[in-house]
Amino acid sequence: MGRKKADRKDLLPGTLDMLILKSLTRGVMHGYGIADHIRQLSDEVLKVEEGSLYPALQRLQLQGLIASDWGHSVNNRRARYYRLTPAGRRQLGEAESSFTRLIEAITRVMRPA
Amino acid sequence: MGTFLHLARRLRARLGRDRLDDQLAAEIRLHIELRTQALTDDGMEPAEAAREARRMFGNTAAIREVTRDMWGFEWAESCLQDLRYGARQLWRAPWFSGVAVLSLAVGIGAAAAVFNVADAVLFRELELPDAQQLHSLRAELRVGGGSKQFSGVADESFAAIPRDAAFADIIGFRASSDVLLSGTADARRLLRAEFVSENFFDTLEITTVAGRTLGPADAFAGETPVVLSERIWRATFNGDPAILGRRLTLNGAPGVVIGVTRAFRGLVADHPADLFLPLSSGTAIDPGLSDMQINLVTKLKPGVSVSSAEQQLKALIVDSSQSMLRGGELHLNLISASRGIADSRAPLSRPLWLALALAGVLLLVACANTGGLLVARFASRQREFGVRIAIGAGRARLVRQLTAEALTIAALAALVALAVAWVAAPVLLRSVPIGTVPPAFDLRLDWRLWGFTAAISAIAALLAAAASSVRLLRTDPSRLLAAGNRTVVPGRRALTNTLIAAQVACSLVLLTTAGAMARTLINLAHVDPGFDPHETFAVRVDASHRAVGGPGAHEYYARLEEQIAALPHVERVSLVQLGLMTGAATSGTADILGFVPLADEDRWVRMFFVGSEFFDTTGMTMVAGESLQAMHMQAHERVAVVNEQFARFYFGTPDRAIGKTVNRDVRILGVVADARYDNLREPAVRAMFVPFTQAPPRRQMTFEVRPAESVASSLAVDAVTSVIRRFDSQLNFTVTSGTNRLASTMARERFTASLAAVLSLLAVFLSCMGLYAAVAYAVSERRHEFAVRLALGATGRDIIGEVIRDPLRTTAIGIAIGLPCVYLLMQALSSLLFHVGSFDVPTVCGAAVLLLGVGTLAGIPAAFRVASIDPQESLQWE
Repeated sequence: MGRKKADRKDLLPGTLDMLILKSLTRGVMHGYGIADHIRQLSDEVLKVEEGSLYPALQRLQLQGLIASDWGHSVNNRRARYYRLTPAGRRQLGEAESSFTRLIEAITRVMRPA
Repeated sequence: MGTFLHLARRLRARLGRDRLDDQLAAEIRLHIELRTQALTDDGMEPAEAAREARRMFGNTAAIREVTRDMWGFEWAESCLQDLRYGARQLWRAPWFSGVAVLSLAVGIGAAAAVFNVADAVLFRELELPDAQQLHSLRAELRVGGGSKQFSGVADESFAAIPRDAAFADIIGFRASSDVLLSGTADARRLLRAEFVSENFFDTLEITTVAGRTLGPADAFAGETPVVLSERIWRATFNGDPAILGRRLTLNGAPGVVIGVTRAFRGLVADHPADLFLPLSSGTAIDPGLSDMQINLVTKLKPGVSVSSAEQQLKALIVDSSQSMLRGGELHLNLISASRGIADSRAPLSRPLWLALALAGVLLLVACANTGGLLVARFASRQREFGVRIAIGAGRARLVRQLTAEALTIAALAALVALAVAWVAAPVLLRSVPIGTVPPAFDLRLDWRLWGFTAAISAIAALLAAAASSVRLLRTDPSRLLAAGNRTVVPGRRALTNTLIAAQVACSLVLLTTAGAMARTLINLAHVDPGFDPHETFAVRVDASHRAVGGPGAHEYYARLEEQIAALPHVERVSLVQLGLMTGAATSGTADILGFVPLADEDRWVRMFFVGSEFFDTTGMTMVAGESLQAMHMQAHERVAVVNEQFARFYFGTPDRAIGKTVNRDVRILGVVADARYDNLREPAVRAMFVPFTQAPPRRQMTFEVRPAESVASSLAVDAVTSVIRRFDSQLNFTVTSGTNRLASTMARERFTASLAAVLSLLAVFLSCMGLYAAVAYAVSERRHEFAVRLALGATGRDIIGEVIRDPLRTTAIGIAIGLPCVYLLMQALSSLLFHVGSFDVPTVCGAAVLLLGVGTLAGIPAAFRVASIDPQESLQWE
């Protein structure tokens, strides 16, 4: 089978996982909900290809950072809801701080001379 | 821990993969519906919203596949898939698979058999804790003009040596192979016993399966306490659970079983022990032991170096054995005993390493053969691989496929090979006679053999797959696809030919080895030993049961000699000490008035203590003077006969030696022709033959017997042995024919020769098969081409010539490649060769001619097939 394709957008690697974890701090969501959340909050800038969420969700689930349960959506449809685990919360904290450091470093380099 | 949980989750996901798959499908459906709904609410047309939602989502199929791969272990599963597929492919082509498996099994089996023997003899360590710390004694005492080797001390000395010394624990043992077990329901058996010191079991930390081991409290009194080895317990006593307390009779003496050791079979590796008894009971059970030393083994304490231990041990021995040392110079070494003590190990070492090398060469032939078969098979599957590449298979994956198939073949071959090795290894070990009793090293089918076989099978598989993998990687996929199965992909012939050339080269090496060894044996057979080994047999008697000492011993032997001489079956008989070609020798010194020795060695001579008929019995001829007569045996005057070497060295010519005096009072009676006393390689040494009555009496003596002309030697042997039994029923004796003794001096050469012969035959057979297969494939592939050429006017002869020239050329190239390797191997063999140069032209030429003949032979069936091509018919098939 083919190799994992690199994301074709300009997101830094691992960022998608971080965005998902952060979204879940707002509460329990299903896949569509997370995608929508990210689009809206980022003001349509982060147009994540919505399908690529699902492999990321599986990966996070296998790593034990999120957990899922089946439930019913608003219009009574069966949907899978994801929530953050304590390990996921810890991972998010670390990811956030290293991301912030990275952005600060880039900003410093790009500051007008 | 985190990784472990991760893997566990993946495994669980794998088990419920289908269900997860359905769930994901449901999730994706929901997602797209919700997006469609949202877009419609924003004002888009429903149909367009649905399309847009799908577009925004992305490639559903790809997403599902990527996710699916996360469940389970993709690489492991695809490997399994490869193996299953490979197995199916092999099953579909039974002839090919069978031939490939068998040819690889030949190589792996030979290597496994040789490894099994080499492991048992050379590598395997005793299964005891801290076996590295065990060292045995090897000492040399130089006194007067001679030197004596020993590995133990006498009874009194051993009593005086402390068991628990500062530098090591010291244990001692004696071994006997003459312990007769009786008094059980089973048949009487001759067992091997080790008589061990009281700290033996504790020091070695031997564990038991039942009962206990011997300790300091077990002094010999009344019933001897006996510890059995596990093997004899299971074999002779059928693993009887009530074995403890069972009474046995050992050489007539009472004993009782007190324990059974777990797996331990004594410290002597080439003669495993069945029983362990206290050292103090030794002489009561086997009186012959009183003449033997107690072998010393030390277990060094932690931190003690070997050299320091040697010095301290030397001091201990000097203190305790003053009488034995007699003012001589003692040189002492501690050699490692972690693999057990085995005198037969040293002479077997070189032949076994050589055997491993030769088996390795055969393995290469087998790998090349199987590799060639795989390449040929790959050629017929080009299309399949072309299609797989076209639909997206990575090259790596296909190489893995080829390797998986090769591994399957190798795994099957390994199983066959293990069966072969199980049968062949004991035969191999028995075919190395060292001395009269073949060494009984412990051959086992254990994890080391399995591991070795698995390792070389894996390597063989990788090598075999390498050729076709290289082919795959270097060919443009479009050519694979377009080629179909008819056209030859260029370059394939070169690869096959390389493999065959490699096989031919290896076969040349093996054939030359076999040829050189055969010539060595022939050369040795033509050496004149100077006496008649084939006409005589030797009876070695052991009179240890008698008290030794005084002239009574001489009379005892003389009377026996007379009785044997009186037999009509016997033409002549003579005593001799030590016998010829036994591997042992007695040395003495010769001081001659007027001769000034330039070095110490100049004084040393071989000594033989003989009866009056010795020279006639063995067929040595007198050169000058007179021989020993019966009267010299009884007389008081000290006389001797010397050999030519002696006479020439000290006196110049044989005639001048007669009448001269040696060692102040020994008169030289005559000079006998030289002979090779030990083996056929070494030239004669200086020797002196003295009447046995004029030497100290011995416990063991040998009778050389020449049967009468018309009498079969077996009848003569029977007659002699019954005379001996009538003479003294307690006398132990062994009979060996001169032919056997002669053969055992050439044991290493014979072993190497027969092994090389067997391996080279196998190699030639494999090479022939490989050549035949390659030619057959080539012809069947090029049928079309040949048909066209025939139709265009080529003669059948041209084409046949081409078909036959090809394998011949490959064989010639193989021979050329093999020549330098042959040279190297001959260098390594040089110590085993006799009068055979290190680049023996006749042998190499003979081997080359044989291989060329094989090459031609391989081409003949193909030539017939070519001749039967009907151009019309073949072309119509297109």
